[in-house]
Amino acid sequence: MAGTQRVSSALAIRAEDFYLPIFVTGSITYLTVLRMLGRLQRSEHDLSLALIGLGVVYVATAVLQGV
Amino acid sequence: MSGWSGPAITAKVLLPLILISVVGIGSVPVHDAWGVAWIVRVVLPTFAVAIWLFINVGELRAYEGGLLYRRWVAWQKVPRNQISNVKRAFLCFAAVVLTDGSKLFFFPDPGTKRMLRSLESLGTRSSPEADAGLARAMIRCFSEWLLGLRYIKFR
Repeated sequence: MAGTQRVSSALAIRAEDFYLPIFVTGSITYLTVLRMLGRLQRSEHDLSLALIGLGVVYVATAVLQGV
Repeated sequence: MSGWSGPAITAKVLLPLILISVVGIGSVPVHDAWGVAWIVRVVLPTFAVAIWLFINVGELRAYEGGLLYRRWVAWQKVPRNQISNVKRAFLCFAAVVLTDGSKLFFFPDPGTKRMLRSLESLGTRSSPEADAGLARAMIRCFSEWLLGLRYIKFR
């Protein structure tokens, strides 16, 4: 029983688990909207490109690992 | 539509990716915390990335002989004698219309607007000097990018 509790607590969803996906989703959405509005400067386009690279890596990892 | 570049990427990769994301959002049962976790941690980031990739219409730069255009990473040269027109497309998009009728879409950000205005006052054609200028500009781009400075400056 004690072992079962340890396993279930290890699998529990924590608030920290949501920080990274919220950051990825929020920042990409924010940059996408700014880009569409023509508000990004040139160097920020490169930041946007770098961020989307990280986003792709994150999504690939998340899809492979699941929740 | 053959190959894996240009519009073929949108048709073969991006549209299916967005469709899969939408179907994924609609098919996830949200009965418990795990359903919410799946949406927040997997589906929403996938959707954001897919939307970004789908509307990544490209960027525009200038060099002495014309324009540089990239959809993803590599820049391609568009000599001025191949450019027929630059016009506003629907919503926030703009397009460089080439003489063969094809279009290069981009978002007209402040730097691009200034660049296009300055290009209108010039009428030069591509030349070896212009190509040398392009090489210098690309080296400067890369070195400034390495140093973390602004990507490129335009005259």
